[in-house]
Amino acid sequence: MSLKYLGQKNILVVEDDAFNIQLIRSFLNKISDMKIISSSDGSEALQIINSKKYTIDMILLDLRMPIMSGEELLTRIRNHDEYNDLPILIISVDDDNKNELRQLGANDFIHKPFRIDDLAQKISENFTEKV
Amino acid sequence: MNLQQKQDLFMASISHELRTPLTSILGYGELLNNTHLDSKQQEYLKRMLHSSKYLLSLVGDFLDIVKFQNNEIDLDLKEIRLHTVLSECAEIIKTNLHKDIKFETDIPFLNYTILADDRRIKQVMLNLLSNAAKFTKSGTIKFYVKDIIELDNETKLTVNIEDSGMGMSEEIQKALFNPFVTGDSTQGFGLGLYISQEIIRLMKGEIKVTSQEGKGSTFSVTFLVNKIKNKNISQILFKKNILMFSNQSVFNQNITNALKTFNSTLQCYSPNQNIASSFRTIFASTLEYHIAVFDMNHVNYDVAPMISTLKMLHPSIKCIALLKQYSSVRTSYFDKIVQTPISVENLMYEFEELSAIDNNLKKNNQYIDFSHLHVLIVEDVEMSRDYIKEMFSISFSIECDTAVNGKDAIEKVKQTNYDIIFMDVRMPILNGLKATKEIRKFNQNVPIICMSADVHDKDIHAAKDAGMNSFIQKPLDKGEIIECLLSLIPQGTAYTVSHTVSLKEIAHKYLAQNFNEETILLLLEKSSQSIALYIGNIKEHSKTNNYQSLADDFHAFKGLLGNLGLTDEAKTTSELQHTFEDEDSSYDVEEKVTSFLEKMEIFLNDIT
Repeated sequence: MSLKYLGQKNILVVEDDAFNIQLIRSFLNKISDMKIISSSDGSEALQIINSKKYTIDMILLDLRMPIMSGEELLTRIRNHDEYNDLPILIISVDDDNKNELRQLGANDFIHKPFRIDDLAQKISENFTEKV
Repeated sequence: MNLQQKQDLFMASISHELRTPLTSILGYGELLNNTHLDSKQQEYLKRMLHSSKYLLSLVGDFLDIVKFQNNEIDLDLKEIRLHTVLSECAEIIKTNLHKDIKFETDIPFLNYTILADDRRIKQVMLNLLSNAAKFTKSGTIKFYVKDIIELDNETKLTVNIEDSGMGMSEEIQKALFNPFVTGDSTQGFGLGLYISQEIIRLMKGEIKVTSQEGKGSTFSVTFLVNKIKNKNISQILFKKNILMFSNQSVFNQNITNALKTFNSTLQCYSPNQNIASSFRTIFASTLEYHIAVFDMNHVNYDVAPMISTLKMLHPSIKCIALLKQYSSVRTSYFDKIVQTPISVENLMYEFEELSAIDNNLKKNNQYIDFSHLHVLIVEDVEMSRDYIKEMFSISFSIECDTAVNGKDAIEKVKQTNYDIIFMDVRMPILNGLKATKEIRKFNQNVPIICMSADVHDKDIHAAKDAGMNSFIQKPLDKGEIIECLLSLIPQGTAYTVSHTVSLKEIAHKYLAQNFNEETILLLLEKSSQSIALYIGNIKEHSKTNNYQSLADDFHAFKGLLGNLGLTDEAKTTSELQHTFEDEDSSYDVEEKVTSFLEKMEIFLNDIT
């Protein structure tokens, strides 16, 4: 599956594990022309979003992070009206609290361990829904 | 030279000429298969290898025909177990069957070993089974021992291969065992059945066929084998201590009764018992344990730490897994996987085999350090020489010396003290036989292994007469080379360096599904940073018994390990995460954490 048709989107990956970021980066470099911006904690990610240096088209968000957790970041982003339509996909290992997260504004879930087809499909779907 | 002799010579040289390039094609194909290919490339390569192997089998068939016509075929009789031979055939064919086909087997144990040619029995069975597979698109293939008739010193066996395939007309059935006849004129030469029939005739038997068009065919193979009597199990199982982790209590009781006659003991532990306390009892015991059986259908904890500790305390212990399906548990820790359901009698045979065989290293992924061996390869064809050198380097970490002909070899042997020499026969200037004779004049001890594509019995005799120690056929089989090399390693030291497939290898293979080598290296480097960090965190948080942080640490570790394809280790972290989340310190997790960290440190060391 190729995501080249989506063009040069900016994806913000918020994840505290450097290896997992690299894995997503390598996956997406392989199948798409997307630009990956990464951040290892919620508060830094919030700064990146608020700085408006990039137009962020999608966020992939890990939950367990130091300083500011994924849940908190999710809540804060959804508090801004201008980000209402920004697709946020949760990177998760467990299935535990999907409903809660949906209520907080999560659009979809990507499971660890990552599978390239799952990742590609989820990203593709969540861009398409927006259009 | 009469016409017949000329024809034989022609066949011998044809086979040689064909086998040599095939050796290179198959050999380099196997090497290529171990590099990182994308799925398309793997598929292309698979087909190339498949065709090459087919071509090789055709060459073998032609040679067999010549041998039969000259009455040159002898059975190579060995002491074997019928069950082992037939099960191997079943295993081989199972992996090649279309998934819609149901494959049923019934292969009983004989309580004695037999004297028979296992290679030829396999050749016949595989021929019939692959025919069944070829002509059956869906439905069932049955492979079973139909009759066992006990005679005085012999056993008359009937093995049936039954399929629900397309069947054959009576005309075809009548002509089936003539050479160059097939049920499907588009495929093959039809030599297989002719050869099979001839082989079975040598075993004083015959192959019969019954078939109905559209309904299927049954091939019935009847043959005689010699019994080997007085095979005494009790000697081998005498005074053995066996551990069993299983909750099938009746089964355990029956085994206990069976073992009593050998003065052996069985200690049973139910998987539901407190694991930690069972382990402590076992580890504290002064008994020497010989066999441990894990019923993996019921054991739901990680047995790896248990097995490694057992092997440390009892170096000769053999671990058996009982398993319904081969694939559901990682099996590399075990010395043997036994499929369940299994009868007590058959399990006893498995015990016996495991106790008897000490050198079954090939089967269990054991790794022996051969790298210190000095090996000389004598081979004139450059391509083959390079391949063999490469294969020794990759498979055994041996950097071989090479010689390009017999004369060259003699010079090298005079200069260097080799542990073993692999010698081709047909070479310019000085051939392998003459070179061996020369070498034997000044060195009687160095093992010289003949590598040749000529497989006539007289070639083997000629090699032995020249002073060669044994004979391996081209294309070279890695298993045969391992056996040659194993014979050089003193007994008992063979286990000194043993390991299972490393985590790095698993991770590398997993990542190679999606990435090229460069990206894999980058990813492994990134993962090493994370792993080092997590190991540090876990150690730090263990000191202060900070359970919540430990749960987080293991959670993070789980995601990382899963993404590296290390599912077993990810499972361990998941268990540990939950243990810490529940603040459940009721059993000794410390040991588990320590063993996990040790594993991760080795992995980290491997990838840094």
